[in-house]
Amino acid sequence: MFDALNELIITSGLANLSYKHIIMIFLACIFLYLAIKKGYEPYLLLPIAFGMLLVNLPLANLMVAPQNGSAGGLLYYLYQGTELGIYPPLIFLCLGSTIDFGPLIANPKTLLLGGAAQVGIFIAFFGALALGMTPQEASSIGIIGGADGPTAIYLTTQLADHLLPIIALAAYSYMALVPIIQPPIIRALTTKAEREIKMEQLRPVTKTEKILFPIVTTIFVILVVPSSSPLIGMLMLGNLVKESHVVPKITETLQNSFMYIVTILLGVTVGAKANGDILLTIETLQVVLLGLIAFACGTAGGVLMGKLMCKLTGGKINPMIGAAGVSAVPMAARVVQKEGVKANPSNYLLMHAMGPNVAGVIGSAVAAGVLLSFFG
Amino acid sequence: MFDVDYTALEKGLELMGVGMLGIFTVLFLLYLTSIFLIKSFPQKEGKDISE
Repeated sequence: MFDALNELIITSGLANLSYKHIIMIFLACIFLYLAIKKGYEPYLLLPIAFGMLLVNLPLANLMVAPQNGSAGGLLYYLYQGTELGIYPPLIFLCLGSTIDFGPLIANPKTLLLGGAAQVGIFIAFFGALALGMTPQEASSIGIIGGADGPTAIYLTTQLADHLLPIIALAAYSYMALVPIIQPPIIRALTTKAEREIKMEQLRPVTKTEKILFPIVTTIFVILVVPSSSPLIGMLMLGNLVKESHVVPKITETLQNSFMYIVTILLGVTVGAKANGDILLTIETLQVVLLGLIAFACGTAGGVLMGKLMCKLTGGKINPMIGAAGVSAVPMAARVVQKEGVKANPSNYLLMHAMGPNVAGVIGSAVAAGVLLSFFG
Repeated sequence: MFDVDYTALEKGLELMGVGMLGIFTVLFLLYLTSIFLIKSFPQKEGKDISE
């Protein structure tokens, strides 16, 4: 009887619990608390944290690959969608169906702001190289500065899979912290007079322009940077589905149920990659710090380009809208709107900031394509 | 204190420049495309996004 009891204890998860498991379970519980109680990016943080919890319970074997004819763990199979780069483009498909490129088409100059805000990606890339990381790791860390979760996950799975959980967590954490990180940078780089600038109302955009934009963008961007095709292609397909108005049921599905299905699959499988051996290292701290630098430099790059455009246009552009170029749709645009109202209560910058904001989505996908073509 | 690989840094700077140039090239092309769209489909009286 004692042998049977001993066997039961030895094969239980409790007997196999190490200090790393305990720390990771504790971390998962903190993330669950932040998602549920504080509402930090709950749609992604909740499944990520639960995936972390599941994979750190000893002997659950949910991420085990199939061996000797026996089936693998459930999360192993679901993870293939992340590893093979399927879920992030699908998220882009859904994202495209929610994005309105109207403000960008109405004021195409804002594309430059979306480009300038990508400088953070390359500054962090350079910093990571200086810290002795490989170009593949440096690229994956730099892309955090794009403030675009699916792009960061996509690039990391292609270049530095081992960094996936920490990069996904850092990217989504900084996106949730946009309202805290961006305002001090915006205020430090702009004068009160610049923040008070009111911009002219945007011209209306015709349906034809909105339909042609995703088609033409797909052709031009993919011709120049073919490696960005999974992200740009899916983003523009989603947008064309929406703007064509001929398949409303597909649009509705992409904007709602399909988006949530892919989100939970992506979240739980990214979290499932987070075991103690990966997360509890000095490298993790470096990634977190470089990610923050990338994000801050991206914001600064956008604002500085905004200042330049403000000067060149004789004060017609409020430089703050450059901060929205880091992507993080629509949070970064909302931050700009809030700061604009603070400087001048009658200032309405939301639609103006949406231009660089959606340009940032294209910009970060192109940046990922450029990095993939260098190191993929 | 730091073991700096200057060749890697030089390469990194080069890639940084090429990368940003790539992004701006693509976005500039999109800018030209948008201008072309604006010129080709001028706004008609009374027509807006909702139509």
